[in-house]
Amino acid sequence: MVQPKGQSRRATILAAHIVDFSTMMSTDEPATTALITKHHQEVIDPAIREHKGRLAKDTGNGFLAEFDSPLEAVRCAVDIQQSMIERNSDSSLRTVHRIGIDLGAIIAGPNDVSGHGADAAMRLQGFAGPGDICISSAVYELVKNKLDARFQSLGEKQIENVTQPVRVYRVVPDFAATVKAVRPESRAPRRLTAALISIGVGLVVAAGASGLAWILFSKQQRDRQATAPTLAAADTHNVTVALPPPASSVAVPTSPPAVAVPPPLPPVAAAPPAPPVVLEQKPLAKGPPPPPKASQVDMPVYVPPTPSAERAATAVQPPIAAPAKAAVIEPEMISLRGGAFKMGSDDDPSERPIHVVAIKPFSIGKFPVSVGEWKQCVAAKACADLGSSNVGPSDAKMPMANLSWRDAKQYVAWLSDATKHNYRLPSEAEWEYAARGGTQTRFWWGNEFIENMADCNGCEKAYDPYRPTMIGSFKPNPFGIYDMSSLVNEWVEDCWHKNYAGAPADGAAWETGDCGQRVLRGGAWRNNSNYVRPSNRDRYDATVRYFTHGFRVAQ
Amino acid sequence: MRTTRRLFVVGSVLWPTVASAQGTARPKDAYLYIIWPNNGDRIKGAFWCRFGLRNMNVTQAGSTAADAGHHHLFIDVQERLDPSLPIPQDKNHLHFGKGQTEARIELPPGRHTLQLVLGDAQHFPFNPPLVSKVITITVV
Repeated sequence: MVQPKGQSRRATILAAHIVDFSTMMSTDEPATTALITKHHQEVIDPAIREHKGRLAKDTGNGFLAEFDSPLEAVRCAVDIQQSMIERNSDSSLRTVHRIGIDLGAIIAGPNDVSGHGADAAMRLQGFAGPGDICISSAVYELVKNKLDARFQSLGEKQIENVTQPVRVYRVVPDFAATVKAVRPESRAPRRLTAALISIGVGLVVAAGASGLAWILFSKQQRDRQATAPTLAAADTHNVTVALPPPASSVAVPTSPPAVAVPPPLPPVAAAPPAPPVVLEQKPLAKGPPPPPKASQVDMPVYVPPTPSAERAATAVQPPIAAPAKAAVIEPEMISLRGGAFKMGSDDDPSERPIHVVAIKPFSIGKFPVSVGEWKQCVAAKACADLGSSNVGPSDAKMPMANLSWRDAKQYVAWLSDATKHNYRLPSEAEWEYAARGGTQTRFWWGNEFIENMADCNGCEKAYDPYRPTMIGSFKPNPFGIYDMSSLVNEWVEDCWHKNYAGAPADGAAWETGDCGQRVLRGGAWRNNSNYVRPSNRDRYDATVRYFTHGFRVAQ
Repeated sequence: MRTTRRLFVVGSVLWPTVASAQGTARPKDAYLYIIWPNNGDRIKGAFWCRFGLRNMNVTQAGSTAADAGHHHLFIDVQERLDPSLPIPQDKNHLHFGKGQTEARIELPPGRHTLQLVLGDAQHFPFNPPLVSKVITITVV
């Protein structure tokens, strides 16, 4: 915690100003005062404390806070702006802040702060749009590689009492993981697609059409940016420096205009030389109930494996009619009754202590999410198009990989929205329950390792270090679930804990602790047989992509 | 952490023999090293391992900024690095894709080796690979 002192020192100052404060006060002074006090009590003061700062001055129409660390100051600002979006969504009186952050010499008293650093932060705040955060180049240099955010250069600005112009950056937080924020927007691009197609913009090569699409897309981006931070930042957790400053403080998608033009037929979007997308699987005769929600599994009954050939895509063309409303193919789910099971093992410190968990009924994907399934989300412009690589999955029937936890969360948010079914990531306990398939042995088939039961390094004769096998190539476990122990490491909902001390016993996701890292379960094709054990656990930074990380969905 | 302890010679392993398939170039004078602990240190309990890098910058995974990469810490790794594949990820190959320059490490008692390897945006080793000397520590 910062200790207030009466002498000059260097610190980071966050200056916040409430937009239209005087209008709010003249409309309803008591309500405005009460509302701002409430914001301070519930959002602003706790955020400052959490980021080891000090509320230095309440200016009435805003506040000044002092931090030791520029990084914490920016994180605090992002937290506040994000929380305010949520609060404003269910309040008739909207409170929107502009925030500026700079570092420099300050003189701090018990309830006041002055000096150059404070002045500069207040000036920077003036460059920020409503709900935005502006930082100086000095702050930018110290935080640029340490935040899940992009930075947009607004160019050099002259600040009062400073001789040299200062480069100002706007912080564009990566809110993609906030499902709440993403969901309402996730369908917008599809609406745009439909609109464009319906007005006959079939020939996207036409320059005029491209221009129109670009204008509409830009407008869409502006509209979305005005209300909430959006998918624009979704797949860029890297730092983008010095975007050309736009006319106003508006987020411009980093992609070139051509990308904004929606493809006339979504399923065809940027298909690499890969076989048909899963969409084409639709007419595939699945026998009984078309996309069955589930085959109820009551007991650990061994289900004979489906030959993978049966899943091979039949070369049936997707219906050409009404391409804009192409139905989303839902993943095949296995419904599980749940019950108590012993989670963990003594094989690794991270898997201890073995503890009993009571699992509620739930459904889990029969397979990991495939490349083809992912492409549906890409076509809907709700998931990142990760392009192709010479390593990793190379076929629509391979599990999708090179995904961060945030990518996986975006997919389930899109799938839920597109299908109106509530898809999510499994909890870690649900995942292990499903992977064990009712067994308590080291592997689901017994305590001894057996060759050719999984795709991993040293597990099979046909091991390819560059890519996984097709989904469904190995025997399913007794619950009829495929590939839980191999192919890709699978993201689950839980935050990382180094062992199970204090773990929930009700099967819910454990969402306290180190949430910068999320749990990965199951081994990938590159891991050794130790990772094939259903109790094995690992973790990774939630925002970072790696070429063996994928996921499966739950309900 | 599983340990695979065996005889090994400091600084002799992990230099690949084939050229990198990905082959992101890096400054010739870049130097990667472990600031702390020192080779031969005896350490009680968990410790902060600090990563040093000269003449290059640390960035996040996914960032293709020139002359920049992110750290990977190899613990008790014996296998040769394959530059045609991304750096492995498991309990012996820790990734620091958010641009971390230090990490809290907890190892079981005994001798362990530590080595840093710098990865590019897609976690591939650079060309030529940038690796630190291997150090050996003893956790007591």
